[in-house]
Amino acid sequence: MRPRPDELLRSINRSLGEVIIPNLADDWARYVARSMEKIVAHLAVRWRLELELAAEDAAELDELLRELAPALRELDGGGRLAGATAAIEARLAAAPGPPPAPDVAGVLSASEAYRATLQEVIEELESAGDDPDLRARLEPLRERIRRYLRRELDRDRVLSEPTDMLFGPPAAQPARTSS
Amino acid sequence: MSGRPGALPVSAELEAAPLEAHLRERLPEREDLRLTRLKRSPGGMSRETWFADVEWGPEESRQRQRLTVRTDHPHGAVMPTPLKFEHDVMKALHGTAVPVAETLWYEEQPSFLNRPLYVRDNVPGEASPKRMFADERLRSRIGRRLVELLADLHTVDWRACGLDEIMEVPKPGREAALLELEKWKRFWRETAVEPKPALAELYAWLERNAPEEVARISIVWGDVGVGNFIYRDDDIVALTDWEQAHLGDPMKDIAAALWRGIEDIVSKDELYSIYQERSGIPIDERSVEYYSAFIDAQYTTTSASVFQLFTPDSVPDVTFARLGLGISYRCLDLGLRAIGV
Repeated sequence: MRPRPDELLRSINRSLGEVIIPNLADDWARYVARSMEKIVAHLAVRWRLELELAAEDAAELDELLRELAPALRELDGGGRLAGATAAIEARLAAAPGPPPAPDVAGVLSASEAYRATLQEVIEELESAGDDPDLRARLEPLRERIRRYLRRELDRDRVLSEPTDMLFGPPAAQPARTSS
Repeated sequence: MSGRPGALPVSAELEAAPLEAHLRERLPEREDLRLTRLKRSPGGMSRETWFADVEWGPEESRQRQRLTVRTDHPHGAVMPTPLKFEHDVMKALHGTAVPVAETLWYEEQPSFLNRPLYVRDNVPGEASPKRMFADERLRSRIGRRLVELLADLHTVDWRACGLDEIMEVPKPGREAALLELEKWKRFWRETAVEPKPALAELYAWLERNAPEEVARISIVWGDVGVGNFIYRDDDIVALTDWEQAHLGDPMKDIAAALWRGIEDIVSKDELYSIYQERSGIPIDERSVEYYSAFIDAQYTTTSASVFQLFTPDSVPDVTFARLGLGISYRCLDLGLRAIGV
């Protein structure tokens, strides 16, 4: 889904910096807005890096604990390190390795590629539908595509609801509100 | 606030000093012209609208006027029609039965701004529906008047006012929808930043189901709605937002009016009866339904087109994100429901 979260965060910061902050007369309000600017910048970095950094960190922790456990067992004098060893063993038994980090960019890219192909298919089927006989035979496939399109839109609704917007007076909107 | 426009740096923002110099240059007969206030209108997203208050003349008898300045966004146009088109449509319609503000001049390359602009007279009145919605009698009066003006618009002799020189003229029949549909589909292709198979399906349906019967080819406003006209006292004094105007099926404007909630100010029955009686154009409900889905496709396209402004080098104001995200999903969802998906 475009724009990407990092682009949206940059956009918010642009509006804060260029439109809102210069027009705030109150010092405290300016301080709050500047803090928001910093947090938004922080969120942009987190969006870009947090998953990768957390995955790298978890992998390194896993490696470290696996290294520590046998070393501690070997060094254990009179059971004084038993608690530490047990904690590591319990952790490693509960999670036999860090989960692979999902490749968000890769999944998004694959989704876009699939959608581009489906868009092409829809247009090709529409052109081929000039032949009434072929059109009738294609109809079950087109129906299958439409079922997917409805599911796609229903799936995306949760992402779009916070920014929902239509033209016209609010009282007019329920009539055209999707259920 | 003074200076020679030629000596000023080209800016991405509309600034008071260079605009004042521009106005002085364009209105040399106005002695000692000063720009006393420049304020951006928060309404409308397709382009920027600024109100420029000017005064001029001898100290003891200063004259005052509010001008409206329209420009594209610094990133460019968010519509498939250039700014000049909007200017030319208003210029052509001024003086007809349809009230529009008088355009004063168009400037393709102002020396002080990195985009075109045009200046028009400001029509005093209100665009906000607040007062209208607080007064039942006024609301009803304005609603009926809007329908009358729609009827007047659709019976304007568009050849006589030269609109055929700035717009493509469709043949009666399917072309009335298809010519305009092709324009929007092309705009989608040019501006899309990601594939949208659902929109491809909607456009395919619209191509296949374009109305065969069209009562007449009219000038179509394209953006009929509360907020897109100025009212003063109990009358509408100007219709605004002409960037989507085209020659085509007048049923598209009826659909647009319903799409944008005209039923809040006039009932559908009244809309149909006043319109038919005044214009002589019969309402075709199937065409109205068709154009409602057409408008869904159109608004999905134009709102999603703002996403092209998000690039590694340029990220626009957050209001663009709100517009693009908020409208494009809703319209696509509604459009697909309208065609049974």
